[in-house]
Amino acid sequence: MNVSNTKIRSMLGEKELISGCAKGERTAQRTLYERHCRRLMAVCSRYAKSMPEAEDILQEGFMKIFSSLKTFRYESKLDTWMTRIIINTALNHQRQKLYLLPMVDVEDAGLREDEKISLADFHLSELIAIVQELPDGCRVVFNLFAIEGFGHKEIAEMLGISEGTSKSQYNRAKSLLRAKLETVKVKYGKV
Amino acid sequence: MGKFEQSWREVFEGTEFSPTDSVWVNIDRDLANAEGETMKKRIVLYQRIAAASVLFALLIGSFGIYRWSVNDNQIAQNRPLENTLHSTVDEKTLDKKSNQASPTLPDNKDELSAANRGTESSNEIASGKSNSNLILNTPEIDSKNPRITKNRNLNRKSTQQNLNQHIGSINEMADDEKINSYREKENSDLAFLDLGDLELLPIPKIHEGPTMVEIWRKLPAIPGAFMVHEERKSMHEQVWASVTAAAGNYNPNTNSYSNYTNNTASQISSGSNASPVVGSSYSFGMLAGMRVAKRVVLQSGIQYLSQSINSTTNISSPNSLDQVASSLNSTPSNYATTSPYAISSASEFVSVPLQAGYLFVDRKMGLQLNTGVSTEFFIRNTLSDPTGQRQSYSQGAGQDSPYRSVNFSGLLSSEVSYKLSNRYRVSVVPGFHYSFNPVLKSASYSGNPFIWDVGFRFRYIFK
Repeated sequence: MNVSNTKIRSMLGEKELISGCAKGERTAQRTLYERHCRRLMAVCSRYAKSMPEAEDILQEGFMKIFSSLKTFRYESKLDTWMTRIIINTALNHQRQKLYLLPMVDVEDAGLREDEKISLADFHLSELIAIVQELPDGCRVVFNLFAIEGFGHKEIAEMLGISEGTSKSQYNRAKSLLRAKLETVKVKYGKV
Repeated sequence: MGKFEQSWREVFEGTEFSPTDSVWVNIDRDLANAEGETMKKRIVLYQRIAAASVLFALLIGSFGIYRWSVNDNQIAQNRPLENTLHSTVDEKTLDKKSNQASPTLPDNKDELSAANRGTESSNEIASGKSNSNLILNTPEIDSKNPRITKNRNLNRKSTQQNLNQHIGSINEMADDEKINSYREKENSDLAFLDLGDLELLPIPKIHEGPTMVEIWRKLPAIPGAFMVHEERKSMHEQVWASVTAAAGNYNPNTNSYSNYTNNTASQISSGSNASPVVGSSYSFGMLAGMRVAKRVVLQSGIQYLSQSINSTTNISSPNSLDQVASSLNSTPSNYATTSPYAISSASEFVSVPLQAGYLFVDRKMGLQLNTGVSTEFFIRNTLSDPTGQRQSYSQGAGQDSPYRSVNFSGLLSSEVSYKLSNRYRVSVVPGFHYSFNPVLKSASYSGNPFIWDVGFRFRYIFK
């Protein structure tokens, strides 16, 4: 029975899956979860301060996805739509903790990028850990700007801050990341 | 995009992390809770509709009974008043008038009947108002009252009309015999009357305050018309057939967790997180009805009844739910346990209801209170896994089945109906269904399930 269920799940197309989820069919919901949970967990882990918190965001995000699938209009790709919901959930999750103040004294770290540091020298789990160690505001702005590709204006609108604050938070994030990368590099002899 | 951003994006592109299994377990639990909330909302809605309908039915019923009793009293009290009034008019007015003046009476019955149709004049008579302007004066009185004399010519025409109406009103109150005798008397004694000598004379009212007739007139009912109408209606709708469908909430009402499904769940360890469960129910079928008395009807038929409920169990049944089903017949210790998982149980019956109904209101809008019993023949119970991981398992009736083959239930419902035409009537039926026995045979599963539901009936009237 389990085998046949697995087969059925793998055969389900995206439309059938969405339709099944919208009807509340648990098999379809499970299948959708299994198809996307790992990718979305990676997204959550970048926004969260720890893995348990990332799982909380993932759980909350999937509940929102299941309840909102009835309104999915195929105007965007399902992956993109789900990622956006997860990011919004993460932002809501972090919102209470976000106290974003402009940091005018931080230099633009982007102007003096250190060519000697290559991210390829680091293990993925190390990089995730470094991102998670960033202050909440810096981490969110870094993710939105550097990874998701939002502009500072969009980020400012999303977070209800000024564009300048977004920029300064991002510069602060870059500065901190560079410092942390150098620390790890020295610690583990990756120079 | 700078080199810094590009390098970070490349690192995280296509990255995947496996969440722990607890994430899906939690999501599954939250989804089940959300479904339960939805079901609870539906159940609350059904309950509210049922309660509102019952309340509405009671209100309408009370109003109907009140109207019925008021109308009876009205008829009883109107009769002596009419007689009194009739005799008063007869003795004090008509006799005097007939001795001194005589209108030109209609010569034939048709004209008399036409005069009888003047309801306005009859109302005036009934209310006592006519006493002030329908009394005929004599030439002697006339000569003492120059104002009236002055208006004689103007009033002549209206006097004749009033007189005709007045006589018509008297005729309305009297029986045919009285009409005939009155007409004979008028024809013989008053044939010489000149209408030109007739005049209206204001005289004091017989009753100073509002008469009882006036009071009754203010009530909305028209007893005669009402009773005739009702009588005519009661002759209709003698035999009918209806299709019926109902949906509502099903409460297993067990003393363990909640129902026979939950009786399977009653084997969950005490530490498990099982909550009281309420399920859903629906039925559809056909009913035939007949009127056995003016206000009493009998209905019977055949219906399909389904009762379903979601629950949890901890009996290990990896591939199929047969173990869970068979556990109802034996002791729980014989079965291996596992972490609780959700199951769904659906029981199906063929139901044969027999109901007696009392018609509180039997008009275009109808109100009926039904009570009766229902014999329910068990068809089968199906246990299924909502996640689809385990195969469903069905078991029917029989000696080996843990389910009773026949169940008996009490029925109570109100039926608010509306007659669409001579042949069709639709009704909303909020009802209560109470099982006299548990569905399971085992003595350890006590509790009488009940259903609150709201039904819809579409009736075809044969005659």
